[in-house]
Amino acid sequence: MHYLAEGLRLPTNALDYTILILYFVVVLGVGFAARASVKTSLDFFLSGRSLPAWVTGLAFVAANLGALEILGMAANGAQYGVYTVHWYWVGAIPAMVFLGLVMMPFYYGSKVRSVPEFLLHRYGPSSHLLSSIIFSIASVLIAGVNLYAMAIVVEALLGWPQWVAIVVAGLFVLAYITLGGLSSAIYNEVLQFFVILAALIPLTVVGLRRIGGFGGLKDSLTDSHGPNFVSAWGGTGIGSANPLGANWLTIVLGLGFCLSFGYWTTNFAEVQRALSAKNLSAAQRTPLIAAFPKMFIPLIVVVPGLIALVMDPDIGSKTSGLQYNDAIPLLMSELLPNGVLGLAVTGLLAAFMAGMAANVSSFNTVFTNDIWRAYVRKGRSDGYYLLTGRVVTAIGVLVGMGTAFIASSFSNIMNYLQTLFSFFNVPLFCVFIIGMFWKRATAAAGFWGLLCGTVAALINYFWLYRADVISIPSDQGANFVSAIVAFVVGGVVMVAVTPFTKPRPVESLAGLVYGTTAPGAAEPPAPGDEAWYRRPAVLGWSALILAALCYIPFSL
Amino acid sequence: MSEEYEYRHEVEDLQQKSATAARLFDVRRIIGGLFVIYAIIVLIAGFTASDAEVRKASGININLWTGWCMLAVGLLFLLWMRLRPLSAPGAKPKPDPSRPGAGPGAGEPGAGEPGAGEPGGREPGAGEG
Repeated sequence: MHYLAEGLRLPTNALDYTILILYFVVVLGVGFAARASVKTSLDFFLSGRSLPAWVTGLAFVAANLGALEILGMAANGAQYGVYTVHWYWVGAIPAMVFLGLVMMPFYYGSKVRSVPEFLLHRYGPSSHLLSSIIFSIASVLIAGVNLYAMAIVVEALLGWPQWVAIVVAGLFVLAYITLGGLSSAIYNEVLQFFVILAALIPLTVVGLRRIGGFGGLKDSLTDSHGPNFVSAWGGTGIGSANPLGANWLTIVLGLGFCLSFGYWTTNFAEVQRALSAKNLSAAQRTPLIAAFPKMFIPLIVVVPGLIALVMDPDIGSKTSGLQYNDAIPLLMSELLPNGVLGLAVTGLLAAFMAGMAANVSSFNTVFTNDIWRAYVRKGRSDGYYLLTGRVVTAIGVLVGMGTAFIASSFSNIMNYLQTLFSFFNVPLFCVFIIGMFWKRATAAAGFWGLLCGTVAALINYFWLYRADVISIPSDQGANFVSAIVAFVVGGVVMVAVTPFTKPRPVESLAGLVYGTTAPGAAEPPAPGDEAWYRRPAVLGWSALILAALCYIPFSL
Repeated sequence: MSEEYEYRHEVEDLQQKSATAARLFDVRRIIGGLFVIYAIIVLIAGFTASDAEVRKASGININLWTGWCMLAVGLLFLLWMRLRPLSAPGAKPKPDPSRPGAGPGAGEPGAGEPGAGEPGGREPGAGEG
């Protein structure tokens, strides 16, 4: 969190504002139009499990393509160079394929409405309540962080006061989710996805042209930063120094396995999109369809970061007024004429709203179903929970807006919170994967694995690393190592606790553990789903092969 | 059947009563409509671009290029929607082109397709301004 330089104020005119206002009108229109489709709580929280795979798949990418991600990955590009592609090709694609091929049958087939609910049926109330509460708090706070980050960017680019941006964006998100529930969140995410593309592609094209294409980009970066800066694996041998502060082992295990599988397979803001698909095949295809666009997003996010570094070699240094996070705003102000500039601003705001809406729409589902309905007010009518969902949405957004205002005075605390929550997903993944494949794993093992794994990551990051007890060269490197620690400790604790505690009766695990099927759960495949290009295995393996091929130009 | 599976029946019940499949409008209409409108705005900016604006964008009339591309994308979405409308409420879901960017007609292995599935309760022209 920081203040962008004054010099980034964009020369926007009426044309740009027309594009922006039009977008806000459409977003709200989607909310109003989707309201007619909300009759039950399932409609509100999971779109009645009825959406086609291409819609849920694009929403799956867009939910992750928030502005924090766009600005952050462009910043990583400018700071670490081509290493940043690891967040996509090692750090996302394999996990998305694993979610689609291996985990989705358990999630979708067991008819749970949320990721924590799976914990309830597999392990019981203690781990369920723990993960529901942490998820709810994290979602609201992260929504607030998102709003605050947006307010800073909007203030710098457009000159709006911070509170105006927070209130306007917050109220729009509140309105369209309260009205249309997940359907309107997902539809807006699909729209946002295309608007973000329309914003970033022209930016990248013009930027590349300015610095002489990919060849010019590579040559100038090799001259200024050395050959490793434009390679994905150069300098990542164990013990050799590189700007990322990580070696190939921590990249593959920490980022590629622990952090990424934790995020993509257990983060309900993502998984919820797949749970709203119309059948199991569509649910499985959701993350697989998402994997293809995800693979090429570095082209329009990381490449602009690199371009910014060539255009302004001082970016991010102490003497420059610009930070790495300013990479994309810098290109916008340097390169785009009015018209396309309005599109770019709209795309950025769309991305902020997409990120926030994903948090809010998953928060209302977990809070209503997994906390309120499970522990506070049981057995009411469906209409009661639908109303609760709407009220909780409003409360969640308002608390998020409050968080955004608080964040403006305690921005460092917010950074720590984000790191903290990122560690929670890793032991959660460990508990899920063991629970799905090991019938014997007990309720107590689930709870203690979750708790100990999280605490171990925190101790490693905030105590051992921060206090220099162990030496890791960078925050990113420490992140990767902490994730590995969380996974290993979580797994060891589960294996150690299980033999001494009572297993759940086998009958209650049907459909939740590998090798079992829930009674009556099998549904016939929809007509047309046998087509070869709709088979999950084909999609999944092609995504993996394509991601591996993407590395070739950056590895030789 | 034990209590353990009660929630599954509840979800199945709700899925039966759900109104989303029947009453949710088609998102392709929104994407197509918005892109066509944006394309027109950006094209106007492109046709009236000054030399300074073209110079700023490294010598490309980027508004013009973006405008034509967005127009094409918007029209493709509208065409796709026309060729493969949403399936009728109550009917089993029909196959739909399910890959991103798959334009109309991209890979149609003639899967059995009842042509006359005109849905009744769709919201027309939702939210285009």
